Amino acid sequence: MSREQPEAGARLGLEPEDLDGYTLDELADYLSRGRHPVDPAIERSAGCQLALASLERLNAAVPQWFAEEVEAEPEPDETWVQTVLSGIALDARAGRRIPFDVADAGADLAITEGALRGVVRGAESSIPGVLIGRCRFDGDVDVAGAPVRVVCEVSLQYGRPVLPAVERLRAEIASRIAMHSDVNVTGIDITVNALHGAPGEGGGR
Amino acid sequence: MNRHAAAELARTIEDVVRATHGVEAMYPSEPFAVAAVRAGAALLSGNDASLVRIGERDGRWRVRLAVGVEAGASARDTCAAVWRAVEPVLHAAGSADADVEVTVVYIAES
Repeated sequence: MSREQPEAGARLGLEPEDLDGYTLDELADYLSRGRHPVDPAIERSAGCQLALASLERLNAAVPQWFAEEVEAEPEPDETWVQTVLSGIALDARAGRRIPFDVADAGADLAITEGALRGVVRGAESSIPGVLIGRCRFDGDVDVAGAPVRVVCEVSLQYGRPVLPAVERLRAEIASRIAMHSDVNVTGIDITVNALHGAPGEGGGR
Repeated sequence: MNRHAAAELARTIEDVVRATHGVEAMYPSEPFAVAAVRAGAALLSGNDASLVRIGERDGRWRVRLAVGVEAGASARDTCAAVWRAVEPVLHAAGSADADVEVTVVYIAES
């Protein structure tokens, strides 16, 4: 038997597909307005907050694209920006519930997959020129102690040496996951699948 | 927790209690709603836990808390601190056998 108040529950950000009914375009518009007027539903949605944090970093990295994007429909072909955006939209959803390894048998403590993906995505702010496109956890992340691989696709700013950037990103991701979870990370796979800021291009691959 | 967030949390807890009272015939355990409020009050004083949800599963009361973690804090430590804050309150309210679930749903960036 399970009876809970759905309206209150909808605000919790615990549901696997939860972005609380907002699209990424709507959140980008909200950000471009300086988050004014304040929308309480967005501000108290965990999924929206995760997406907004990623959008803010994207905005800082490529402000010219962001300014154009809020005034015009996106191009139909998928640029690296669309890849990053689709990653943000997917990653902000709550996903699986990842348990903490706690000694007290009565405690049921966890972090959502979406929150932990947000931690991983936040690593891009520490590595200049890196934007994370998609991120996923391969393995039974909802089972304590199970081996898990972190898989990320990134876009690198044109002219940045690949190997040092990837090594720094891998170390930053490992450190962040260790700080915020008990996930048994057995590997971090990073694929650089796009360059941005190349001479003569306005944001495409 | 700033004043705005505290006020928002207080309103959310009020909403939960109001909803619970609205189905009092199905949920006769009013003290449990009170316990939720008290748990929320405890959280207000310490951690940035945001939302409380109460319900019933397999005949046992269930409390679910969604926690937002402040920038610079550890998700694991915050989660454990919230749980430690809630447990004594539930015991005091006579709901010690409830299932309590605490989940971090968001970690703020500094």
